[in-house]
Amino acid sequence: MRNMFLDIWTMLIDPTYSISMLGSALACISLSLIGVIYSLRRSALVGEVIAHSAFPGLILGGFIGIYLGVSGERMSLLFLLGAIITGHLSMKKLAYLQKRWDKSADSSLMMSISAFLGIGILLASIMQTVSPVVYKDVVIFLYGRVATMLKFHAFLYAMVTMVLLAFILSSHRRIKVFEFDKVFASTLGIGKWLDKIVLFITLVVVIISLRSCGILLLSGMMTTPAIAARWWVKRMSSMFILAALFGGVSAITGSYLSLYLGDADVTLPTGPMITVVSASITVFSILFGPRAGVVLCAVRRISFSIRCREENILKALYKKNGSMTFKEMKNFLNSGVLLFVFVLLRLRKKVTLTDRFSLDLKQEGKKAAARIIRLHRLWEVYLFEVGFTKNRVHVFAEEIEHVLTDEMEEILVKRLNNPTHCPHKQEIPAKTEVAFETS
Amino acid sequence: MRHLNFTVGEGMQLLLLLCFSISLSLVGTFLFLRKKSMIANAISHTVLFGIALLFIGMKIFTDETHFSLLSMGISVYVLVSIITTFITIFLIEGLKKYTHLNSDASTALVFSTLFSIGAILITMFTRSAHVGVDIIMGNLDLIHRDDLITGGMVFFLCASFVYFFFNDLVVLSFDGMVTHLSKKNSIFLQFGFLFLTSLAITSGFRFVGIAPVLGLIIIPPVTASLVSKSVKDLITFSVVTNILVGILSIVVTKVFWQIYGIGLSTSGMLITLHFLLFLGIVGKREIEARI
Repeated sequence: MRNMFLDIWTMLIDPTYSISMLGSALACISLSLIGVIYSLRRSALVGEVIAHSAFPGLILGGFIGIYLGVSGERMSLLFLLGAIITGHLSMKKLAYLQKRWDKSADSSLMMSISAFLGIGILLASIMQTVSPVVYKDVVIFLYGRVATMLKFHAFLYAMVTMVLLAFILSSHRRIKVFEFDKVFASTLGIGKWLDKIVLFITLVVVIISLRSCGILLLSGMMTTPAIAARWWVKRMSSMFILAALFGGVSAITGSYLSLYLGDADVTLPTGPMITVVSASITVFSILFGPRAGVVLCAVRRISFSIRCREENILKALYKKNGSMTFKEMKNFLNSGVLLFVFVLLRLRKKVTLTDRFSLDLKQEGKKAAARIIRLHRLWEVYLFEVGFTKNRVHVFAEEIEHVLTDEMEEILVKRLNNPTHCPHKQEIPAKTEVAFETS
Repeated sequence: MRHLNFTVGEGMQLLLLLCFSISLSLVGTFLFLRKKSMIANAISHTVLFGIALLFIGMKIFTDETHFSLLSMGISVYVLVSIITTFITIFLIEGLKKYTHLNSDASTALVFSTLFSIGAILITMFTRSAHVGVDIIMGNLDLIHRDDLITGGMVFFLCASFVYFFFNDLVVLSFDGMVTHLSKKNSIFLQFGFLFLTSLAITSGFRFVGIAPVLGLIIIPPVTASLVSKSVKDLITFSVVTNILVGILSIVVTKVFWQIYGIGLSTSGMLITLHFLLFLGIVGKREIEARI
């Protein structure tokens, strides 16, 4: 274990690794920040569209570069410029199809992706004959390459991340208003420009990150941290922070793992590794996140249904004067036997099992059962007062009795002038023989 | 003035292209109507995952050491890809149903994750970092004689399914609830359609490349939707434009190759021409609206 940490340390101070790691971390952080905005807009696939439509732009930039006779860093800048232009065109086309021709978001997205990809492939085939060297440079963008990152690229990423952070910090409130209430934003007069600035920054961030993330993986890196953040926090500002954290952590972990798990012959591809790490974070968040995580919800649901069963059994025993044989209990076995045994085990403080195979209520159980019945009958009285007929109220009360709290009970009693009998002329257990949860 | 010489190979290329473009636009029309075209893009990524699983399976059961995508048997490939498609769709729909993710987010999450896992597995097992660029770039320019048989079968299946179940498919596209309620053959219809979609898309990837499949599944239906009012018109229009544009793309590529010596990608040309047609029709509609 110690060895592994040493490895990370040497990797961090080794200039070739540290630059690529820093670069990819910066790229992922800025992508995740942008991703938060688009996941709030419910259009997580925008990254996919821009990335695919950048492809023809890269090649067009390459053609201009060949025509002007430039190479190296200037060529990279031309690539980026071309990609930004086609990306912008594609986003315009998407908005046009949706607004002017009323096409669904889904088909407009696909139109942009496929049309620009097709044009890109046509241009790429021309490029292949014109200049195989530039063609190779362009193909890097499809999968992305982290290993050959230069100081120039890392510098570019740092610049873009700074600008993005400055933008988010300075106009955080405006973004919030714009994303959550478009009409209010337009009355304040901030919608028009903000939308354009967000689009422009998105284009720059996505296209700058293409080199290390790759066209095919970009949308994954952009959306997964933002999705993960949504299961942990509620506020937009905390979502930004958490998504950036997830993005940075998965970039560093991913690039470390791709070196660590690979061997001398072949290093595992970094982009996919980063995506797998951030996707695992997302899956973990979806399952265990405190905000409506799947496991948490399931636990809540199951524990509620078990409580309902417990209370139903207690109620049945109470109505049978505190004792019931197993045969009679069969009516309540609408679930499996195992679950029934489990529920009985949970009830062992309130119920005793006699030697004649019958269940008896203990003192404590009696009080708990009386509480449920009191709540049930109070609710029946309330519904009856409100105007429901006598034979309808039982069904509703049967469900609400598990949900009502003691506080509600007090209010009901006050409102109904402390009733003693339910609409079916049955006695409501007095407050003194009832065990309340708070007492 | 030189003559254009067409070879048997180019005739086959044309036939294959027509088979796939017509079946894809048949399937694509209904996907477009059901607003589920994004499935094609998702599958284009996740198919790599299926291939990776196949690699692992072959490694375990046959101990072959050298694999390549192009030497893989067609039936095995199609089977694996269809299974992958079903996995993809179930994952996306499951995420939508059991968590509160919207459709975009669950699609992005599923396809990028499966794609990355596939890419990592393939790199681990084939020990080379460059797998997959070939399938992305499309190999419509490199086809084999046996490919035509598969193409014909896909075309036949798609065409007959759409012909026999046309009314049911229309109902399904516009009101899924009605199909669900009329229990007649709801499950058969939905699964059959899903099966054909995955068959057409994944075998299309193999034979004409990923980019043309993505284009053919959406551009002709959208273009057609600008000019036609009924589903029948929609299908007729996209089939006719597919045939015309398919022929045109092969001729144009041929002309460029024989006269200017530039080897253009046929699939790129096909999509570009479809896109130009779309732009032309949009322009026409815009001018009509202005007058």
